[in-house]
Amino acid sequence: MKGMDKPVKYAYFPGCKIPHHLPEYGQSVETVCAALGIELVPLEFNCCGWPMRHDNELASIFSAVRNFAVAEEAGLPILTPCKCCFGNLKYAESRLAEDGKLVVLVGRLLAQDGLAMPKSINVSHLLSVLDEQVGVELLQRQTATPLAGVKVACHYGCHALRPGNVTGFDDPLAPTLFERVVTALGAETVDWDLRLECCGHPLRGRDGVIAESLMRKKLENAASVGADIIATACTYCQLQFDKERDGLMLNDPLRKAPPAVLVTQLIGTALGLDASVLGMEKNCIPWRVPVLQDRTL
Amino acid sequence: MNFFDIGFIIASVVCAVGIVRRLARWCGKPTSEVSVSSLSWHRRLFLALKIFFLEILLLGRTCRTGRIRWLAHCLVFFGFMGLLLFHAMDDTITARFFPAYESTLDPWQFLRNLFGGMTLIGLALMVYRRVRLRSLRSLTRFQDWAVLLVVGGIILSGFLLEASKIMSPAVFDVMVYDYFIPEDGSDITALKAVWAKKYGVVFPEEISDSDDVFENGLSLNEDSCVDCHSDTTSAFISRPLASALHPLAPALNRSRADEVFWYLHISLCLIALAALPFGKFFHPLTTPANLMARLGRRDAAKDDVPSPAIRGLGIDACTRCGECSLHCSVGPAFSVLGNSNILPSEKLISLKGFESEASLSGQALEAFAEGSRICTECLRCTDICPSGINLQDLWMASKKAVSKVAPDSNQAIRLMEISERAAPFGECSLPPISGLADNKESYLACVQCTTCTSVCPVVAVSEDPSRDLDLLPQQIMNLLRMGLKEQTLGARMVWSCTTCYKCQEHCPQNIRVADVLYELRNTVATRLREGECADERDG
Amino acid sequence: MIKDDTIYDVMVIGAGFAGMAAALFASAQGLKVVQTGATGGIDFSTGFIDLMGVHPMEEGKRWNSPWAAIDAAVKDYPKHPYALLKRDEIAEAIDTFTDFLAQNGLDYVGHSERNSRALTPAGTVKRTYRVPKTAWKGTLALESKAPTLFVDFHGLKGFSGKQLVETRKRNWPGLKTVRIQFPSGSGELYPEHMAWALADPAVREKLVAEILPHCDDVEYVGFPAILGLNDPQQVVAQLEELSGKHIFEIPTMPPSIAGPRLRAVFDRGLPVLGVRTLSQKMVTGVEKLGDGSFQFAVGSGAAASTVNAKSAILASGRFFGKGLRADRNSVSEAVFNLPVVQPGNRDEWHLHEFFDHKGHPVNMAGIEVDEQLRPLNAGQPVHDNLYAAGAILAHQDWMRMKCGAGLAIATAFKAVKAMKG
Repeated sequence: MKGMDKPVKYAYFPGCKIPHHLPEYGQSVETVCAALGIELVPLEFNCCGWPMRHDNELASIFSAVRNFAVAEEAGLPILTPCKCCFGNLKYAESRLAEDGKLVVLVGRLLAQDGLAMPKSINVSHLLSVLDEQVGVELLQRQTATPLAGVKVACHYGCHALRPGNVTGFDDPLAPTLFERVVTALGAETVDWDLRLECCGHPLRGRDGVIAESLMRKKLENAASVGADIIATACTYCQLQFDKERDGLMLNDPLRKAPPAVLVTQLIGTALGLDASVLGMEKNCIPWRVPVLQDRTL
Repeated sequence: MNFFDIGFIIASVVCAVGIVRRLARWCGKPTSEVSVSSLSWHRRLFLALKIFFLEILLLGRTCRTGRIRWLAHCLVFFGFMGLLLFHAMDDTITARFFPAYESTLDPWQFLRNLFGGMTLIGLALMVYRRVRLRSLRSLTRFQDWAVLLVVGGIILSGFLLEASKIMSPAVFDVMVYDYFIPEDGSDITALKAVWAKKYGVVFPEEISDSDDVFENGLSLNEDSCVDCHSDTTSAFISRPLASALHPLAPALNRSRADEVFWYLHISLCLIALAALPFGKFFHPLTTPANLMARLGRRDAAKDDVPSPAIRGLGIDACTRCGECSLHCSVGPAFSVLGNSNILPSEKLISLKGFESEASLSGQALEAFAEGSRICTECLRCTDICPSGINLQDLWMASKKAVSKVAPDSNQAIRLMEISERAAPFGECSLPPISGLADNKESYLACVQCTTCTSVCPVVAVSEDPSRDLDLLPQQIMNLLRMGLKEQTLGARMVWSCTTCYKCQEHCPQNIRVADVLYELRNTVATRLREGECADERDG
Repeated sequence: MIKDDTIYDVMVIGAGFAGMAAALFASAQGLKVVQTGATGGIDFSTGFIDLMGVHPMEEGKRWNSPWAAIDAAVKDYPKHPYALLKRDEIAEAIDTFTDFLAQNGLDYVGHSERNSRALTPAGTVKRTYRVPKTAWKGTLALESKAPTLFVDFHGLKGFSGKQLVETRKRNWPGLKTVRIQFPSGSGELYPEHMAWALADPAVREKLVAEILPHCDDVEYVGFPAILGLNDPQQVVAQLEELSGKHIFEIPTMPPSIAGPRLRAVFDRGLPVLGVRTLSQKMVTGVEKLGDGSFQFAVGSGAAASTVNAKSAILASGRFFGKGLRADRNSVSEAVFNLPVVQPGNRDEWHLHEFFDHKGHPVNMAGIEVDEQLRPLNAGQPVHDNLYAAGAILAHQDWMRMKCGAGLAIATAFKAVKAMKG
């Protein structure tokens, strides 16, 4: 299997939740990137700052900017598979650009750690790298077992998409990036009303009722349009649609709603990679057998 | 009963009581859900052997965190263990295996210096690391210095004891009295000449340095002393130390420094024994035990949920090396908020307090709760911990427990009555955070079109928005532009915002609705942590 | 700064009716289209497509034939943008536009020769050219004076069945109204959320069960426009099946559900046609390159980008759309700094009375164009590859003349046609 003509190299920013709470994402990201010729360099980053943004903006921004400084010392752009990490890193970038006082404050904190204010900031979400660096053509070429007939509901996730002028991810009202990537694997994408809505995970632990209602609405909507699976490209969204959903009552019909699949597991499957290297057995709501058994794989 | 026996008994009792109390604390916890990974017995045995050699004897985990630290620890570990086994416990161990054992004979004399030297170098490296790393320095507490001080004191006092004995004529006299039968008066003089020159004793009187006398002394020494006394040059630290102290020797000898240093050395050893079950002094026992209990795991998987006793062991296995805090993912939050409970090594101490019967209260509890909350459960501390503590499991368990007794700002708001929420911090005068919410320009363009509310998914799934959310996004914006910020802070809409940014994205007037809601949450969090407003409310 | 290397045939500046229509027509012509624009115009639409409803404004005269109204308006305002369009061009523009909406599940209905009479939430009757299919039966009910039930909801503001009945009962006797609890959610309600809830067929069943006891003696049931977010026709069809009555929607106060429905069609439909959409981004600068093409600076922050296009259609609207900017002294155009036809000084912008029937002169301000819809400066086109369409055009007060959507769609059509040559 061959990757891109020119290998691309990124500082890998998995974020805090992958190692313990969603190792299958880390595993499948690393496997798939290696297969596609994306070199991921592990650096010791700290938290992106998103979880603490509810408490203290300065802590959140400093946390984010410290990562930029670490990446700049290594001379690498950052790649993150988590949309909340991506969103907060971009938010910090935008805040630095608009607030000179903040730059001074953060610069002082960086200096305490022996770091310098980064001159350039370069952060990408995995999906953008797949779309722009790898490209749809290469994904198509490398697809060994096309996911023909699999109906995928792409779940965009909020923090990469909005606010569009901060994240610059895709058209915030009419995005097409995720569908482009999934279609390249031979799968079919479905249009669904709640495609761009929130998964509800950010409210876990803060307002459980709304967190679950949001999850229900989305799952019901995806089911009603005949999706086989919901594709995610964000640690928190997957946690919500897989791990948190697994906490529902055993007889809850939503357990039967389309299972959530990490985009890297989907790509890995299309590339013909083994289920075990994609961490598939760790998914709480299994998808590979129920969804793919009738298809030629 | 002499000083040593009395001291030893007291120290042993303190130590035994301390250990029993610790064990009782580990085992006294109510049993919780435990799961044990399903390993075969031979797999376990293999792992146990592996852990014993690689992780306990060779300190493999410490090596992962840094070469210098590993070197320092190895030096102290092997040096101190060596001294403990063959020197401190010479009666029980060394003399049994080596019947001709005498502490003043080589190799023992040499080994004592070697092990002591190793320990001292190791300790020096440790001190250097603590002083050199700014972030570690700020975390270093009394118990960290105490361990270094006591262990270092034992070794240093030992060397001083040895050096003072080397130069002491009083000790020489006692030995001569006990083991030497002079045939005439010149024999003592001859022996003194040899011991002054060769062994480094510093006599108050002038010692003859004629060759005849020295020759005679040598043969006497050969007959009576060398069976029990190797040349003190093999005491390659104590002897040079004695030489260095030569100018002070008369004074030291007069004041019987050897006895003073003996008392010091023994006292420090007894203090160390008594302190063993307290704080960091316990780690030489608990850390290996914990490493064994973990069987080499560095994760906190669901198939390996420890029992309360193992949890207790884990808490006590901390060596306070600070590696977890140096690598903590939310370390930057500590830099900004200054709450050391954000860092794992420090939070662990609070956790001990939280779990103890007295528990925590007031500021200490709030600080611990904040630290618990900010932790992102990234597993890094657990992965890196050289003692193999399952910190992840401790954090996840304590997070739940502490949130019940110390509500965060979100819970605090939700616990309020409607009337309290209407203006929860009416009297507070803390300055604004970053100014979006307090700046009227932020909403100048608002036309109250309700787009923010219409697109809000939280309002959409809420059964009765005005009942469950208090205010809707456009109402919050309206209050803010009228300068009524206090009335928005307790609105549950602010706290139930899912941060999806649809309001902000869809606003036709580019008002940063979601950013403003974040800022309102920040405002309350800051006010609660500063405590001023809460006091005003309670008072 | 993101750099897009594509050279587009046309940049459409604006995402209201005119911008959406221009992007649609241009891509249908096989042009490579890029579109920018923030939420605004279309999001506040009632969902009706007006051609021309009122003229002269001061008399408030309403017209049954939009074509006659257009002729009359053009006669009195020779520079009205409609003067630049032929009747069949206007008709073709509207048909193409509504065909596209229909393909995407949003059918429009109307007569070819005359306006339809549609109900407003205030109970008044508005003359409009095309109405959404889900509102169509309301026009039939109004026409036939059939017995009708208006349903409204506890907690939904700006829509009162009682007011509808009171306003209309004089010449429409068989009217009644009922206020019910919405089956999913209570307290303060918003149309979009109610529409969201009705995606669940169980909620639809509950809704019908709530109204059936009040339906014995009526043929039609009118609801506020909440019946489904993106599939209102299916929702209405199911309600009709369950209730056995004719069901229709009456628009609510803006922002109503009509906006999101229209926007969804374009957000989903335009990328499929190959249009590159840069939603929620404003053009912040423009430069004319040596070869005559434009280079635009678009958006701000992380989303800032440059876009190259051979030509451009300016459909940025007026003040709310931010196409025109008003400062203390004058009105200016935001992107190209085009000359704006406007009252001589600020005192003349507004009449004394806020509700003056004549309409305020500033609401006729805008860009003057030639017959090819190219903006003019001193009678000459400013750029031969720049066109303007929609509300930004001068010499019309679409809000009072009730010609907004029609004018926007038709001028967009004409601009694309002129650009194609």
